[in-house]
Amino acid sequence: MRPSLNRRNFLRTVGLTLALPALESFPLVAAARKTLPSAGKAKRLVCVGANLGLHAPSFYPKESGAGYSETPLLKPLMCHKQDFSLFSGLDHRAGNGHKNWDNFLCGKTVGDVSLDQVAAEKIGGDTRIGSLQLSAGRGSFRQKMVYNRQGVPLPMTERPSVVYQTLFGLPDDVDRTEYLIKSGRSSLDKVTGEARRLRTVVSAVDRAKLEEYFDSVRDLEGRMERQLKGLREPRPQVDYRLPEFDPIAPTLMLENQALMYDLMALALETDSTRVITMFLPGLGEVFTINGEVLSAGYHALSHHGNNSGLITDLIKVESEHMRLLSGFLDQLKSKTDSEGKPLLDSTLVLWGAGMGDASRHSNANLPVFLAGGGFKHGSHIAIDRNQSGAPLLGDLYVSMLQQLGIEQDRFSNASRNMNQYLV
Amino acid sequence: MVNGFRRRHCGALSSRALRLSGLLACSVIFTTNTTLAELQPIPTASYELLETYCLDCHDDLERKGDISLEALEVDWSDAHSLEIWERAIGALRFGEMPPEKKRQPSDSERATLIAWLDETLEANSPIGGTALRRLNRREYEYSLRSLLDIEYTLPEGFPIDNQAHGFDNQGDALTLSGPLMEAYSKVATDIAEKLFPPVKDPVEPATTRLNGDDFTYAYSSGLVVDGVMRVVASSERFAASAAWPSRFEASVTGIYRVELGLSGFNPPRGESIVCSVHAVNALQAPGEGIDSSRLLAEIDVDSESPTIHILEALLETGETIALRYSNSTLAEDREMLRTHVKTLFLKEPLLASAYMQADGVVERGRIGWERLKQLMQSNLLPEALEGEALDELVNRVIRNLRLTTEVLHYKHFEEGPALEIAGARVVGPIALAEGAEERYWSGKSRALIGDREGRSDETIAVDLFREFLPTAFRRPVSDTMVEEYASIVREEMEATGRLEDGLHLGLRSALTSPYFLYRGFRDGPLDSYDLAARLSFFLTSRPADAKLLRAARDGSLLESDVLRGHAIRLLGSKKSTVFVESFLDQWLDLAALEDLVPDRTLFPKPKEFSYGDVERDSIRMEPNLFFQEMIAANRPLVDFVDPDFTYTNYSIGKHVYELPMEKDGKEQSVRRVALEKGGRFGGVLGMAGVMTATANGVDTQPVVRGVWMLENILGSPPREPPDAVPALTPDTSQAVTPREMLAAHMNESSCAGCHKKIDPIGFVFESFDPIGRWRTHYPDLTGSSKNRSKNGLPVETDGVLPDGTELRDVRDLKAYLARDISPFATCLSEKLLTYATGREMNYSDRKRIAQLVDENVAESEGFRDLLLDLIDSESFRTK
Repeated sequence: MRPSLNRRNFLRTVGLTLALPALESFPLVAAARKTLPSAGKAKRLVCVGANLGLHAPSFYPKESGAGYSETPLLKPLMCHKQDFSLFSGLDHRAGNGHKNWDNFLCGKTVGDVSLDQVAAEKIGGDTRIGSLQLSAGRGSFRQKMVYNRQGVPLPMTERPSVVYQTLFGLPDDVDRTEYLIKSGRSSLDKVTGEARRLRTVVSAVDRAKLEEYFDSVRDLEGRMERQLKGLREPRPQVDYRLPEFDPIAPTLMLENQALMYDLMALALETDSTRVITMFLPGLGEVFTINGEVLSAGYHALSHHGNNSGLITDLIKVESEHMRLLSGFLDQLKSKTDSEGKPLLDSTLVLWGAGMGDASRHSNANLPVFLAGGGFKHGSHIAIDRNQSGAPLLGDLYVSMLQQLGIEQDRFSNASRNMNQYLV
Repeated sequence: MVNGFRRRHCGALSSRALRLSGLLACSVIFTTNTTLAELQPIPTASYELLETYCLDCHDDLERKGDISLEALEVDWSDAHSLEIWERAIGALRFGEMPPEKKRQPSDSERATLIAWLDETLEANSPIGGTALRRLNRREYEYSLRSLLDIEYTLPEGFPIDNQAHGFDNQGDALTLSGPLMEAYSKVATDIAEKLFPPVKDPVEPATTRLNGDDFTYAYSSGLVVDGVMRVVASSERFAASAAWPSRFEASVTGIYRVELGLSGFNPPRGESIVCSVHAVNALQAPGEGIDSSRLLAEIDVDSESPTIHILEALLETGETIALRYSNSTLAEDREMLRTHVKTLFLKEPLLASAYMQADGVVERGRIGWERLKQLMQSNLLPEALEGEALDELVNRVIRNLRLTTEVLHYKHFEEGPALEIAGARVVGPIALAEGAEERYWSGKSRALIGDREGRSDETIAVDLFREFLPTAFRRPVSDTMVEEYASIVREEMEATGRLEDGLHLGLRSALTSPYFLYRGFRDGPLDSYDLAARLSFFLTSRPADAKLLRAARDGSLLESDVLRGHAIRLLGSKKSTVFVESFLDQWLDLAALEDLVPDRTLFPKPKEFSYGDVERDSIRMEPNLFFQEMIAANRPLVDFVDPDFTYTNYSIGKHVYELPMEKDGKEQSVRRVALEKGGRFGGVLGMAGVMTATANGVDTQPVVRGVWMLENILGSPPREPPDAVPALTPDTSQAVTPREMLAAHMNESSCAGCHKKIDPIGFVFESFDPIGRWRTHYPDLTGSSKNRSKNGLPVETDGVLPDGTELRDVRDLKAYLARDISPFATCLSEKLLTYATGREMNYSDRKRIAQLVDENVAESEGFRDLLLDLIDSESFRTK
């Protein structure tokens, strides 16, 4: 950690919603682990969305079912074969183009509440952080991925140091934040006094309206009280060191991603949060893999136009994504929950994209990988999307929500589920 | 609740509308009438008439149309009975009731009932009664900006307001909640932190050592060769030219000492390489360029071995330095690339041959360069091209600008000329400094505080709040109140010794005070201050300016002439665009255009015409410019319906309005165009934005447009449909037209009452497709091909209005409205006053409005005259 790095200033760039982190806090509970509720088989949800998706022919096996053979992109994942399912032929039946990428977790319509936020409403309340939104660095323009119920896209944290600080450190401006809350309370006393005087001036009808002001101030005072209490509450201690600088340079996006996975695993292990999303940008990042500088930027590679040289390099990048994902699954297998069981058993890990073929900007046939969470895995479930009544990606989301103990039988344009493949 | 109607009955116009109405549904809406029930008997004469002519159908048992008039006495304070009886008087006046086939009252009997109802309704609908009005999001934002003279935008997640009566500024719907109060408090704190920031802690300077390979780049803007970073292009985008450190960014805004080890690699003969150094945000660097960064220095690099160059520069938090070879002849610029490639081909005929062999295109980036090299090493003969053949090849090569530039990058990475970055050392901050944003805010802070020379902190605090509070609270403020705020400052100062810390808290208090957040405290006629606020929030969405306040202070604003004069002044100022935009967005539902993306199949020849940002901007701007001219030129109200002008850009004018547009090089810009009166297009009916907003981007629904017209143009919204009716989802691919489907309504008496009003108008608009183009046929969607250019069923637009008027198409409807513009003018006036006063217009308001409209029409006055009359009306002048 670089102590001189003033977190508030960085946060300011993402908008006021995070300008005062401590005021943004979620329902606070002790950092100690809570016993998990026994509602669903899965207790946690991780969703990873890759801006450029995957080269489908290198990812999907030709065979469906359990006896499929290894493909170049599946190679790093084969050690987990029994713990994940592959789905081909799923999507949201939405239009093509970059903008519609954003519907990956929303369903058909960009801006509808995203899968993770539906989950967070139900399972995010018991942890210190309701849900964590991450992006492994930034490109020159940003896709959105997570939308709350009001349709507001939630900002994603791009710096591992900020994630670390949020999870395990006290805010570095804790004194200032404390002062702002305390002085804020005294200013509320002052303005409530003004409202009391107004009560004697306004009509009976408006007096009722003015009651809203008193109620709102009381509500805010309660929030401030909780924030104040949580401010200096001890955070979980972890034995983990970040590098001295944040890997935000375009060439370092894979390093960024690796750190984010580490922090995600730690966040789940310490039960700091149960809902995490991570966006994987894909623009002009030129990667060096195994000492070799790739032939073009990641985005240029994705527009391969079926050139074999470009595809070879693209697969190198995508294999890194798969290798890092595999490493994350390793961590979730070795780390355990409060009952001593591997985290992966009760953690759903979804990896996918809002784009099925980046070379053509097609948003059909999205890549979908789902691991853990107590589902029955091990197969490639190949859906023929041209058949009438073929399941939608939203149907899979319904199954995931139900597995998380959330009784919901619709998601966007989907109103069934895919339990027959998973339970 | 026509929104609700649309949602249940016809499908939502947009998902945003849904979310907003969802919010509305869960908020509590107070009605203004909470006085105790007072029952008044119906006079015998009236009761007997009701019994004779009305109660057959409208008694408690029958309840035709869900209306019962069976009562001996009426609670006139009840909003519901007011609504019922107001509908009754309307039905009597327009001869709708009793229905033709029933026994009819004599003229004098009808007059007796109407007179009784008119008098009673007016007596029981006192003008005024806007609920205590909270600033809505827009007013709050503009208030902050104008009070503190700052540029400020509310955060994206700031709560959105509920709507009522079609607008987002209605007293009864503007509730306050804990989360909103928290948002107010956060914004107040954010602004205080900017204006009066805490003292910065000193920061120890740190040293960062960077090697060549500690620099990063995007796409193909740089390459590390033998541990040294090479950059080769002068493109404006950093992702196409620059390199920057991957391990350094300024931890805090301040002065940094930067030492750069630079050299030239195979520089052009007789020229030195110029390295430009830019300050850029490290996270955003790949998306920035020379226009969005600060140029710190330009360094002549004339040595081919690394030489240290030193500069000291201001870097803001999170910024780093980006380096470019700023006089390279290779750039992502068509003309520069043409010259560059031509020069290369002349010098290296083998390269030209290789490109020739590859037909002018190779793969992007290094792979393309590798292929060129391979071709050059094969048995190619150098081709000495010249003249047209050379130009032709060059043209082919530069056609794909980005691709070719990236390929040539690799040539120059290998062969030069290139700027080499061997390493760097950055030390800092060696001094703290204000960044651009901090400078901006400290300037604003100084302006608020004023001259500190010779004034005690105490005086400054008192003066500041004596000045600020009356503007923030929009009325004079007592000395006691000023003293209260000064004492907040004093207490904080006692703790820290800094005036700024005190002002910080004082400002936060003022910005969360009920005096700031609410307006309209006193019932009855508005005093001059409340009148000033009402006028300025109406026309500018922000508090009164100095001139208006002066007129409020001396009371002259209460005079008609003065009030009208200020209204004219504000209407003429730029600040009134916010009124035009937000009023039209809500009246005409134009806000929906932001989210609407018309279906691609509507544009079978996209090269000729399709719907993009330019088109959206044009149809979005058109109503605003049209409305502005209606005011500025004081045009007659009939021009809203049948004008001889509109505003449009080239593509909408040509492809939607079928106008002979001239190509003048400024096709994108929206200009005023002349129209022929009495045509298909022109006026709010058939305006492309209106037609697009009332469709859904894919198809049109006659009921949606019909209801919309009744509600927003004719001012007689239909009642909500009965719950049992399934939504009509026209599927024009079937051989059943919407018209045939709607015919079913006419057989159902519970539907017919409204649908005989809705449908004929809805059908008229069927001749406008989902973006407002004229059509005579529905698209043919049968079969597998989605070819919308193929004609399907013919569009039938003819119909008969309830009063017997026959309509062939929209031209007849326009003529019908133009013959008697009063219903439209009354509807628009009601909307304007609802927006201005923050309350729903009642019977008395409407009666006054009708009089003003009649006078306006009789005197052949214009729209601005009417607007001023409305502003000068009792409805406007009463809380």
